[in-house]
Amino acid sequence: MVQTTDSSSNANTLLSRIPLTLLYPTLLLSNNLILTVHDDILDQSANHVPLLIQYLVLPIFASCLITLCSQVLRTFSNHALTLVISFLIIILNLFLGPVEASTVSVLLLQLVTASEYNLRKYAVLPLLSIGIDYYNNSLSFTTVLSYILILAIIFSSARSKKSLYYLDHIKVPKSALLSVSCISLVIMYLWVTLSTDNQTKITKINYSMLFVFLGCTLVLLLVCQDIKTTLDNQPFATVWQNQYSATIIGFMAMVLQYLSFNAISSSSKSDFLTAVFILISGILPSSLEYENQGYHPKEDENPDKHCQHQLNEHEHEHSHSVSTHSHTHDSKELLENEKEFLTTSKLLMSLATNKETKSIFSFLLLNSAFMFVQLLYSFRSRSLGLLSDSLHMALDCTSLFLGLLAGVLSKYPASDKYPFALGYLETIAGFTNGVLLIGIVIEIFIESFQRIFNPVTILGTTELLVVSILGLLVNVVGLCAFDHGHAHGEHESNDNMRGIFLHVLADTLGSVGVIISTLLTKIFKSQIFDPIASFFIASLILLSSLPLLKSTGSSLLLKVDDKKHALLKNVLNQIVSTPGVTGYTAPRFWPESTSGNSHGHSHGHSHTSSNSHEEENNHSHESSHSHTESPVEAKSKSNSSAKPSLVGYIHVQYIDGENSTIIKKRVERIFERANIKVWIQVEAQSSACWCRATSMKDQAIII
Amino acid sequence: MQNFNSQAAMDREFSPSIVGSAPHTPIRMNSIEEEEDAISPPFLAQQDSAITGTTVNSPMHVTKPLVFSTETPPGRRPNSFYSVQGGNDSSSSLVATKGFTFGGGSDNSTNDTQLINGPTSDYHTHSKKPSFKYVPAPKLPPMSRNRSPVRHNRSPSPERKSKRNSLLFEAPFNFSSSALQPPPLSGSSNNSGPSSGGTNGGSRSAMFRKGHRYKHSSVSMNFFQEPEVKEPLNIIKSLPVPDFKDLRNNLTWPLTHIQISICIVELLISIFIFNLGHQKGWNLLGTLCHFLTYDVLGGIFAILTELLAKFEIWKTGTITLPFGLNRIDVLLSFAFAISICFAGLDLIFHVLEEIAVLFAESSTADHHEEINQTIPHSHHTHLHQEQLISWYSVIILAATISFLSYSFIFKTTQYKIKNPLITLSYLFYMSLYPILSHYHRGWDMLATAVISSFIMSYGIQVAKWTSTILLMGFSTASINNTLLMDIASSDSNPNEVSERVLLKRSKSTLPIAAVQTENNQSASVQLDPSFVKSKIYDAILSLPLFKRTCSLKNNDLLFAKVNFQMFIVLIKIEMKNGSNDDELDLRLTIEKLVSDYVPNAETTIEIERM
Repeated sequence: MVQTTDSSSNANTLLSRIPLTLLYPTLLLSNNLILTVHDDILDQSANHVPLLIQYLVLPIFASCLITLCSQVLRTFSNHALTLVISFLIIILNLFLGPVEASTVSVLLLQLVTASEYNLRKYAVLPLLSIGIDYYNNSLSFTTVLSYILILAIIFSSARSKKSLYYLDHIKVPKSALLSVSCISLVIMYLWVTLSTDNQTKITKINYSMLFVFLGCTLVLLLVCQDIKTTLDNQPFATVWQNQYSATIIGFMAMVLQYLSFNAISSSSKSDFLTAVFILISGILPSSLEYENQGYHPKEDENPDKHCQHQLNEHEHEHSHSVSTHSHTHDSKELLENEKEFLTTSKLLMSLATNKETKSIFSFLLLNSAFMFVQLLYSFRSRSLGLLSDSLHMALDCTSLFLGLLAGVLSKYPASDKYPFALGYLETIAGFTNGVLLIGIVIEIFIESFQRIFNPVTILGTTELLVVSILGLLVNVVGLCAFDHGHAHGEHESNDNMRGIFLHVLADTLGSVGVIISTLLTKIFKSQIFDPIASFFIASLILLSSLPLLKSTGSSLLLKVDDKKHALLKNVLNQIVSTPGVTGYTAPRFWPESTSGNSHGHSHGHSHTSSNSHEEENNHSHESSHSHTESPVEAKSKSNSSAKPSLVGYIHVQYIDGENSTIIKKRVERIFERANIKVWIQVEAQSSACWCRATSMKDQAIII
Repeated sequence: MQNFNSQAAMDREFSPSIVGSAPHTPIRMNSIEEEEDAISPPFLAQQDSAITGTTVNSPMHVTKPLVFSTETPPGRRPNSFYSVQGGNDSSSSLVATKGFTFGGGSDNSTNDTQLINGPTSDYHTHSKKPSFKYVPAPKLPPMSRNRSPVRHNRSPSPERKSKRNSLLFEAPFNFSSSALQPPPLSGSSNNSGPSSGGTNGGSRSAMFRKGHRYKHSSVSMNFFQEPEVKEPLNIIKSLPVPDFKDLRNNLTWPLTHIQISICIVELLISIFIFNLGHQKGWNLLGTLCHFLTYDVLGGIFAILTELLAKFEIWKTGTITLPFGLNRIDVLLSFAFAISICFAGLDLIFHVLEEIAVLFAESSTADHHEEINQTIPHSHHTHLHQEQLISWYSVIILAATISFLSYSFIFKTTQYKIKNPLITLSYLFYMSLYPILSHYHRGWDMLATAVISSFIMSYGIQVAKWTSTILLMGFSTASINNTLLMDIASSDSNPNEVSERVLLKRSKSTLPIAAVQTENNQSASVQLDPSFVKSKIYDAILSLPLFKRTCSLKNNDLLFAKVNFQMFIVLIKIEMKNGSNDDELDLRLTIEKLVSDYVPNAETTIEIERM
């Protein structure tokens, strides 16, 4: 499972591909289960569904849906090609069943994109599938037909790459796709309802499976988008151009099949043949050769290079936007990030491309993929424990997503509504995560107290164990992703990441607790372990989330920490001692949020250095006023690039008759040296201002 | 002489009276004093040391009574008399009383410190013995006072002190004037203080007093001028954050106690309902219990914020907390909105689970019972006819307590989330439940879904609104929009204006959440921040004063809301060829203009003169 790819040997790419191995088989399986024969009918193998419905209407419906989704999400730009490919895959899926279909489709993709291949070796596969069918007692024309279809595809793609080139550029309107899928759904529905007239219900549409199918499609497309960003300039085909990718996908499909049917096929011999089939699919592609390097000029010839094409398009748009936007906004340091935030439609794109959040985004996708797998399994097994667990997973996904969104949004430039930009959004997200964790902890506490006094016997412990181990695996992958993502960013300052981390950690602990308590329950046959374990875990979560709440809370109260406090005090003292200044009022300064800065380390350095400058200048200032000019200039230049440590405003009073401009310049310089962004209102001592009005309640007036 | 004796007696009475009053004074007084000491060490430290010498008639200790009373051990008093008896005219203790030795003050001071230190240690070793000896001593100071001409004017007046004490009693945490007064010139004296007067604390303050006394002397003129130059700083560097003890000591007698008892009763009721629901298998009661617990939590927070609001730190900005603790209110509201959303989401998930169960049931009818039992929070509650009485009595009980908590806690406080309304709406649904459940389970689920989506939308709205404030955004919820509307309607082209007016009618839930201060009658109308900003921007640009010489970029006009009450407005203007008067006029006009639009704003106008 871990060795999905070796192409880039990058943890990021690896992580982003794990969901694919889960999603693809799930997608196929759920598609197969949309239209099923009713459970009450004993003769399951008999074909109750007319061929036209099963092999034409359903695939059309599914492929239209997939293409529609990809259009909405803008994953693939070439609609017709996506439509055709998804249609073929789904037909194969219906012909061969999900296990074989997933393996064969990956092999087919490999063959089509390969430059050189030996087709004769693959002759083993049709024989094997016929063997499987034979032992399954389900020998039919479909298997043969599907292999003929595959051959046709291979030859046609080898012969006339032109036709694919045309396909690549046909745009299919969304409305057409929508209407086609709706019509096909209506046809299926009508057929299902009409067919009941005869006697009892024979077939039905599984809406839950439809839901799972739709969810899987969306997540799968998101994953594809995610993968594209990790690939940089490599063509998208590298995803499956791996010797073992077919095997892994096939294996996962087999596991899923087993989970949802409690059997792979109807006889042990065909089980064995299926395993052989999958193993061989790992050996066969070893002779394939791909020409990935020289692909750029003739990329259009390949049906599956469209992603590359798409990527280029994106880059074009980006570069264009940079040129337009750098004029309107003059925030220099954000220039690099800014191109990503032009429209909300590109939000997702920026989520995936953001270096810091990249791995966590992949984890989010993995988490949601796992959620759908769990959902499918829970619908199949009708287990409510699993259902509520997958809903919990959905909550996790939501909070992860919100955290990521906050991370991206926080780098937005300032607007009319948010004049100080959205830097504190990450802190708010961290705070929100903390509050949610506390809420979860309280729920667990109440539940476990209830369980202590009124023990509930847990049924289906084995199933619980399997699912929680799977969940643990997913969460451990998430923690790894997090560590990896963290290697780039700093640990302490980013509350948002801390919140997400705690959330994932809490989940991991939860799975561990469930596993331990289930094992103990199994061994000792006592129900006391479950509440104790949950109690223990809840208190662990509580202990870890309280510091998070405290730190985010205090920074949301705009609390100035000790270091900055000292800096500010120093600055204020300097202002008072400036000649011509009689005093100041309303000095309100708050820390600038750090999250807007992509390089936390450099920020920290600049801060300390500015502090030391402060000290230095202080001394020189005392000795002579006029001398400090030149070093100050140099330093202020060096500091101006760094982010201000504090932001705020102050009113400075001067003696009547002084030149206000000079006073302002002096005060400005003091702030500049301390690297504080400030609005200074300079006012004559005798002039009126709200800040010195005696009636001001909000002001401490000292006479 | 008689007169002086009585006065001396009064002076003697002072310190005990203050010591006696110390327990009544607010707890945080001392820490503030310490803080202040830390800020301005030299001056006050000198005062203290001077006080040790001339406790009785030093005018300084009037301003610092607490420090005196707490820090001066009783044994110090004889010390000064010792020096008096010794006939030593030291600068620290006796110059002030005897006078005219300031010429050689610096030389004497070193001797003095030795002299003072000697006897002090001597005294300490001899324990209490000398105290007997010096009991009659208080008669001595008047002799020295005789010679001070200004004495009568500066006599430490008991009225002043009592006034101050009473002030402290009335508003314990309203630190006004004297207690927090930093010494004049704290900034500059900080630097010069230690070098000049560091070695002997007494001499400097003595000289200062000398300056006061002999204001006609040419030498002392210098001292006299010095403090006038600088205005005292109008900022408190830090205020203590009140802890639990402070809160406990500041409960307002009837109201807070009633509120707390309501909370406790509500908590007990929620526990009772929880148990009842568990016994009878009415799972709806479990959800109700959740909401009641939320009420209790919200009530506790509301009481807490109300108590905190009494403290000075709530409103007053310090360096550590630039806008005071006020934002706690916003933060708590936000946290509550989030948790309300969580509760709503939880409910929706339960509904989803039930729907899934329905699906499962439709396929396998025989497994119905089995599945139904395993749902943790199923809302499928079966009610029999005879149970209706207890059902409704529970509802009435919960409704009463949540209404009480609404009217006593949430209505009076500024708290922005009105939890009990949610509870009440849920109770309303519960009262309809027996009727609904007769028909179809779908109704029940539909009602739950509607309620939970209502809860969530309410929570999201409040969360949005409060997070705007937390992000220091421009929340237009309490902007005086009537003015904006007037301007909009009086404009030349009404059609064009109506296009530009981006008024958003907020949902019906917002009025509950919005601030209902007196000056905004229609808080339910929310304005687009850019629109308000552009309005004000245009208004500033069209000022006659402005037009001539100034320029203002749209980016240099910032509006932000920092807590539920206060806005800050930051403006950067470039001005060509203006005088100081022009600048002042412009500033005042803009300030007036802004305050017309945005109530309770702190405006800062930075004018760059070219």
